[in-house]
Amino acid sequence: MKSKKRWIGSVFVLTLVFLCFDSPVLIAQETFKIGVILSTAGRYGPMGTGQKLGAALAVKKINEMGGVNGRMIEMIFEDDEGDPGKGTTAIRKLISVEKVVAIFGASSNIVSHAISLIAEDMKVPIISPAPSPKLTLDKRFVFQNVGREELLIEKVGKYFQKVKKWKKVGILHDDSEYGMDLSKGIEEWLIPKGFVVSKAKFSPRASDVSPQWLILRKDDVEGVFLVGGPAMAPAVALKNRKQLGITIPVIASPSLNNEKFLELAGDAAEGIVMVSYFHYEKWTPGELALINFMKKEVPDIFPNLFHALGWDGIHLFANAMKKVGNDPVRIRDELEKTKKYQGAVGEYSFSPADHNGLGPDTLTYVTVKKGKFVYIEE
Amino acid sequence: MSIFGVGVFILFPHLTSEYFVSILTLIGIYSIAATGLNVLLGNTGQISLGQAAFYGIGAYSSALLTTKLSLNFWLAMPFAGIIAAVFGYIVGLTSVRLRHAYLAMATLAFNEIFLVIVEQWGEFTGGVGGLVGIKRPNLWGYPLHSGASYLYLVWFVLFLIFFFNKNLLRSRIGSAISSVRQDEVAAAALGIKVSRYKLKIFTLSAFYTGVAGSLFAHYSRFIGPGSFHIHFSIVLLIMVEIGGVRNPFGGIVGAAIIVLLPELLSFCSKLSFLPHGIRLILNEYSYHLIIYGILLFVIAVFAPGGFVKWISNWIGWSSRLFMGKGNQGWTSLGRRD
Amino acid sequence: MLEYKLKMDLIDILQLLISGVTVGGIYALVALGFHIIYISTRILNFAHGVIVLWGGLLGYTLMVHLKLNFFLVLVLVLLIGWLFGILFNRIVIEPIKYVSPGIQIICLLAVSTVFENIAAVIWGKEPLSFPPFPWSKNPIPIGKLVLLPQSLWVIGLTLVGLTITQWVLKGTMIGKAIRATANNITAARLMGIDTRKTYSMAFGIALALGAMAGMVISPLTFAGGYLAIPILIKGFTASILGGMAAPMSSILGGFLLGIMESLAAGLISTAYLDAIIMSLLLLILLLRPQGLFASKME
Repeated sequence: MKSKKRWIGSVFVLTLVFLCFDSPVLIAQETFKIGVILSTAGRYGPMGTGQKLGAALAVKKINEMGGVNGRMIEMIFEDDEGDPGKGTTAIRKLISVEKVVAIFGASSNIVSHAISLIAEDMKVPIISPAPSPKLTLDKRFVFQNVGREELLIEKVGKYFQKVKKWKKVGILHDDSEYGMDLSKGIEEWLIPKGFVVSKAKFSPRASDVSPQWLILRKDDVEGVFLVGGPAMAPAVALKNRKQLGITIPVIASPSLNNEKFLELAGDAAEGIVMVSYFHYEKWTPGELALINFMKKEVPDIFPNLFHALGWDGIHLFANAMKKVGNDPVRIRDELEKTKKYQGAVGEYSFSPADHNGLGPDTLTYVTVKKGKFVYIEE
Repeated sequence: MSIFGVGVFILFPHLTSEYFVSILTLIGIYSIAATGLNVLLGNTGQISLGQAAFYGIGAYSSALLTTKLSLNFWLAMPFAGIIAAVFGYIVGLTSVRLRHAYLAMATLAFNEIFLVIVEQWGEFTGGVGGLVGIKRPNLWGYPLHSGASYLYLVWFVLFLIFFFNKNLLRSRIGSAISSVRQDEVAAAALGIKVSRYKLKIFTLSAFYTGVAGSLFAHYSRFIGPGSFHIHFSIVLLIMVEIGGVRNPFGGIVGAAIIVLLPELLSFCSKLSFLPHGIRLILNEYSYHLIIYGILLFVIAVFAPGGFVKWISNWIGWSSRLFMGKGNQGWTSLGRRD
Repeated sequence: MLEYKLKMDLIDILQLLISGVTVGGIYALVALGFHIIYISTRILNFAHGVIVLWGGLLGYTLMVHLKLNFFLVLVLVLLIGWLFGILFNRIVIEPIKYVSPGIQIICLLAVSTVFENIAAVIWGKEPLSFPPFPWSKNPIPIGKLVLLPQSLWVIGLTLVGLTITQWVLKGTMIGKAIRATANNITAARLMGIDTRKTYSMAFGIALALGAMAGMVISPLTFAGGYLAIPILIKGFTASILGGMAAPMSSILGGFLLGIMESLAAGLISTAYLDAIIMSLLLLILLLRPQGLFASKME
């Protein structure tokens, strides 16, 4: 028995030794390899799972239509587990062992930052679905395919200023990076324009957000911007608002633009306004491409922003690969030439100076009627 | 034999992929942090759920000293360790009155407070978004930018700490600590100031962990509070427990297993001869966590010495197998002096 | 400090108290479970958070998928929790009974992680919307205040839990056995008490209470999620605040924690809330470790 354990141990060690060395490079690269690094569990789980599905569907669709110039694309997935250490190991594995020529990832700002530095060093283009404002700064290989925070701030600010003409507003935010960054950003936009701003913070794991609502009600705000990470705590916040009988209007961030949020909030979400990437009744062609394919492949799942991010990421790379082939630097060059590409998230136009590519028309306003998102005219 | 080992060690990072070098680097950094915890757990039996905070204090201190005050890394790193040690001392003061679960809760509270301060003090620490722009250190003008060069640094620091630690335990301080661990009352009766030694252990433990944090900050070149949550404190506990609690190698072995296991599972999930269902399981992070938890429990119950015992037995057995009966030298590797 | 004017008027403060008491009731049930285990076995159950999770999820499956009657579901969740407790004792606690406390804590944390992820595998990683309890659809207005029927459920069930626990521990033979074992395990064994049974019973009751807590909070929030460790921290904080010595002090600790969280958020700061609560915990640990409501150190 003891010797059996030792032989197992030897096998373990030998496998480790195998892991050490580079896998033998194939004579001909048969597929275009794209590395995908996302979190499918934990706090960013819902985002990562959606992004992964969107990416996988994009790969399937492109391959079904004949691939890129006849060659198939292949997605190689690594889970970063929300940990930058794991993320950096994963990206090095994807680039130096699996020999991917492009990377899509990561779900969270913190891992995206860590892996972007490496992608930049190793000269492999990376598209990130994470909204961190400083991500593409001074970088030549890092792109973002989700709207910059400034766009969102403008959209919400304009809603307060031009559409509703309010003067006193509240910001109800969680302490995720998304919530903190946006609440600070919108406050900095509003105050110079003469607004009176009241802020209240809740925990992403909160079971009760009543105190925050009482504060906002006491401060007599005319409207509230609700910003939060995953769906749970913001849904609780809306439920508390309804229970307390508070009718202060709410405009919510696009992170809540998904079915799970509507499910958890129930009828407490009725009538709120939300900034959204999706146009619902006025679907754009890019959105329709995603929606129709998802209806065919995964009819039980309703498309959301995360699917769109994954879907667009792969398509952006594939389009570049169609023109220039397999070289990472040339793919990056070609990406920078993208002009007016209709993706599911929005219309992309990159340039060497602009690695974010989405314009103000990407976002729109929607409202919730009878448990569904409905497009509203500006 | 040792020259051969050193030679292999120097050449190895250049022969292997950047991926494996990064794995070894992470193992090295986590080993230092885990050794820090092992110093505490192994010598006082006390649990700390706040090690992530010391790791974070070391990381932020080093990052801020080098970016905001332009301090040289070679000064910043030990300074970071010292700053962490100061906080270790403060937290250690609670250990005078608190033990076991109560002490664990106090360290946890400390960790939470640390996180809130980092997140709210945004102008200084970068807040929730994190701190960018941390640079790799320069060694006599040569930047340690490549994976291999930083790997040497990390493992060099690890060896320093390891040997310092080993010698510490051999000295008089070591035997005092040993008697405290075994029976606090008897030790006190013998005139050993129990609280003073516990305090020293806390401080030392925090110092090692802070140094690890500094190395981590300059390795990733970006840090955010998300890396320093309770989750990481628990991971360190798991490393120490799986590796082997009172053994000086325990931290290293534990860190190695925790870093390598998911890579191994991921590697196996790509083997095409395995059935699809099994491959799906191997790739899912949720299943990984289930496996670790069960593994930890099994080891704690059936093999409290941790993996170190197994490894030293295995090394002994295989060296006998391959090199004949004469070579017994390696079997003393895991044994405690 | 003297300049500080209350941010809110009395009505709002009362409302804060109401929501604080609601959440506090859940903390109280968790703290009570902790207490029972501690008083019977001297073990601090670091895996306690995960049973709360499972309670909510089991309740969800029984109510939504099997569409059973609510009261039946409540009873079933209690029973299943009790069974889990017995199994937990046999499979988890017994092997680690004689291990050092530090290692025990690590093992319990590991078990918590395992079951949290098993739940994620079974029910999915995302939380689920839990249907409201009977008579709970609409809030009850009392003047300008709003009272949720769910809050009444929480408080009611907490008190029921407390009453049953008191009755079992003081009134029944097994309760006496539990207390005897807690007092002196060797003496108890010598007197013929089956300590394995008393441990099982203690865990059974504690986990049943925890499972019920999970079910009771779910309509207000949701079922599921990765909340085992946060719930553990809250429950433990409540226990330390109130004191682990008596059932009543644990319950009071729970309500107190809920109220303090609510008041601190409303009146002091939402940004520093966690730091405030944790600092308070540290103070209590250092100055009055037996808890605010206990008379002596156990």
